[in-house]
Amino acid sequence: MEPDSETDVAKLSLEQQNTVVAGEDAKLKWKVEVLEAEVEKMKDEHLVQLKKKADVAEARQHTCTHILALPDDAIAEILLYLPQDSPSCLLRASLVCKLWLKIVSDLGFIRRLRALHPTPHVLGFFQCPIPEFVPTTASAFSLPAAMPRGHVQFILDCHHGRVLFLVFGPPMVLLIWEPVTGERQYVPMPEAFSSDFYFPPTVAVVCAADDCDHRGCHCHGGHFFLVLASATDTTAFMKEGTAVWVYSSETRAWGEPHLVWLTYCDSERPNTLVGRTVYLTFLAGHVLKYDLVKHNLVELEIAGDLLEFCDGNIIIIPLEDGRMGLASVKDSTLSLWSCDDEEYWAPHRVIGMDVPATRDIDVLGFAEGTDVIFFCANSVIFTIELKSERVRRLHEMQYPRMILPLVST
Amino acid sequence: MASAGSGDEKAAAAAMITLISSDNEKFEVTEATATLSQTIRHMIEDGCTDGGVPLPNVTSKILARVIEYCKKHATAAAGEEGSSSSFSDAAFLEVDRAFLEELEEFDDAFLEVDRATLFDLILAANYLDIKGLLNLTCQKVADSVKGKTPEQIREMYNIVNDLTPEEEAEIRRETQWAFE
Repeated sequence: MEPDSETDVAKLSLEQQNTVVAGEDAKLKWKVEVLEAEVEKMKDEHLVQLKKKADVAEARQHTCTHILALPDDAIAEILLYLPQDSPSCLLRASLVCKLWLKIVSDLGFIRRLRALHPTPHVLGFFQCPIPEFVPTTASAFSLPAAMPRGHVQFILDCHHGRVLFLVFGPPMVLLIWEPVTGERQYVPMPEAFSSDFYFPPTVAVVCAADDCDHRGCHCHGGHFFLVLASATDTTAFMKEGTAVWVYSSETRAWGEPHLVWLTYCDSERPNTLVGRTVYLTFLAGHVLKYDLVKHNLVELEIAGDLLEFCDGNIIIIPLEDGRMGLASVKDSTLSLWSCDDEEYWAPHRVIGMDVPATRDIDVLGFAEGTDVIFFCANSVIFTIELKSERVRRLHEMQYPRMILPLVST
Repeated sequence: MASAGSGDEKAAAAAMITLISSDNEKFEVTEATATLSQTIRHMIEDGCTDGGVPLPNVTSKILARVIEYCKKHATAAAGEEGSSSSFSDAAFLEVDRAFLEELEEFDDAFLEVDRATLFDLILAANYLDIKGLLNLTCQKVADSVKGKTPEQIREMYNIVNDLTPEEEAEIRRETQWAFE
C-alpha cells in the first residue's frame, strides 16, 4: 500500500516506533522476570546448599550420647540380652522408666525372649515339706523373702510357675502362689477329705491349658488343675483305698472322687507331668496316672525287679522323645529307662557321672522343661544336665526328703 | 556348569560397592563385606547401589568402624564355608579354632570404645541390620546393666525416673522378691 500524504507517513512511522518500543518494553520485562526467577532459584539453591552443609555438620557432630535416644527396638535388643538365669534382672530393668517398662511388657518382646531362650533356666529348688528356697543362680535372687509365711504349712508341689502349699489352718486349705507375679489363691480341701486320711495328701498343681507352653505370658494368672490323692482309712468310700479328686480353677469346684485300691499312699517322690498326663508316685513303685485331657485315672506299677535293681531309687521323667521314662541312680551311675507298654522297662541311656561312687546316693527331682536332674550324694545336692552330662555341685543338705525345682517362666 | 557358577561367585566377591557416609565420605567395600548388612543386601538385590549407597544416618567415623567389623566377619564367614568341605581334616579344624579365638579377641578389642561410640554403633547396626554387630554391642550394654538396681541403672545412664510412685509401688509389690 502506498502512503498518500506526509502526515500519513509520519503517523505510520510513529505507530511503528510505538510498536517497537512496546515490543522492547515487553522484552525487557520478560528479561527482568527471567533474571528475577534466576535470582530466586539461586537463592533457593544457596539455601539448600546451606542447609545441606548444616545437616552434614550436624551429622558429623551427631553422636547418640543418651541411651534413651536409641530407637525402641535397639533398647529392646539390649534388654533381650540380660541374663535369663536371673529373672530379677529384667524386672529391675522394667522399673527404670516408663519406656523400659513398656518395652519389657510388650508381648512381641516376650515372644522374642522365648525364641532366644527356648529352654527355661533352673532358678533354684524348694526343700520339702518345710518350705525353704535354695537359689542356684549366681545373681542375687531372693525369692524366700516373698514366700508365703505366717501359718504352719507344707510345700507340696511346683509346676508351671505355681507353687502349692498346704496351710494347716483350721480350716486346712491349699495355697497356690505364683512367685513371679506374687499372686495367691486359696482353695478349700475337697468336702469329703478328712485329716484322718493319710497325711499329708499328695497333690499336683498343673496348668489347665492343653496348648500352653507354660512360659510367662500364657501361663501366669491362667487356670490350673489340682490333682489330689489321699488314702482313706474310713469306710466313707472304701476300706484301705485311695481317693483322687481333681479341682478346676475355672469351675472353682472339686469333681467327684476317683477311687482306687491303692494302700501305699506314702509319697516321697515329686509328681511329674509328661505331656498332658500327671504321674503321682508312691512307695513300692505304685503310680497313679491321671490324664488331664480325657480325665481318667489309671493305676500302674513299676516292676519289682527294676525297683530292686535301683534300690527303689527312681523318679518318673519325660524322655526327650516325649514318652514317659524313669531315672534312677546307683553308685555313681544315672540310668534312664524307657518302655512302650509301661510294663517292660529297658535301659534307655546310662551315664557315668563325675561324682565319687557311693551307696548314699538318691535321685531327687527333675526340672520340667529342661534336661536337669537333681540328685543327692553324701549329703550334697548335685544337678546333671542330660544333654551335656555336666554335673554341678550345689548345696550341702542333711537327709533331703524331696525337692521341687523352680524354673524360669 | 559348576566352574561357571564358581566363576560368577568370584566375580560377585570382587564386585565393589561404594558406601557414602552422612558427612559425604566415600568407602569402597567388597560386596561380601557390604552384604553383612541386610539393608544393603536388599539394596543390591533391588539394583539400587549404582552411584553409591548414601547412608544419611551413619557418620564416617562410625561407618569406618562398622566396615572394620564387617570385613573381619566376612572373612570369617568365607573361612567357615571353605572349611566345611574338609570337615574331617584335623589341621583345618585347628586353623578354625585359632581363627575363632582370633575373632573373639577382635570382638573384645572392638568393644573398647566410649559410651557415645557404643550407642552410635548400636544405631548403625540397627539401621544397617547387621545382626552380629547388633548382638555384640547390645550384649555389652546388657552386661553393664546386669545385677544393678533400677536406681543404679538410672544413675549410670542418666535416666529420669518418670514412673509414678503408684506404678513403681505396684510393680515392686508384685515382684518384691526381685528387689530384696
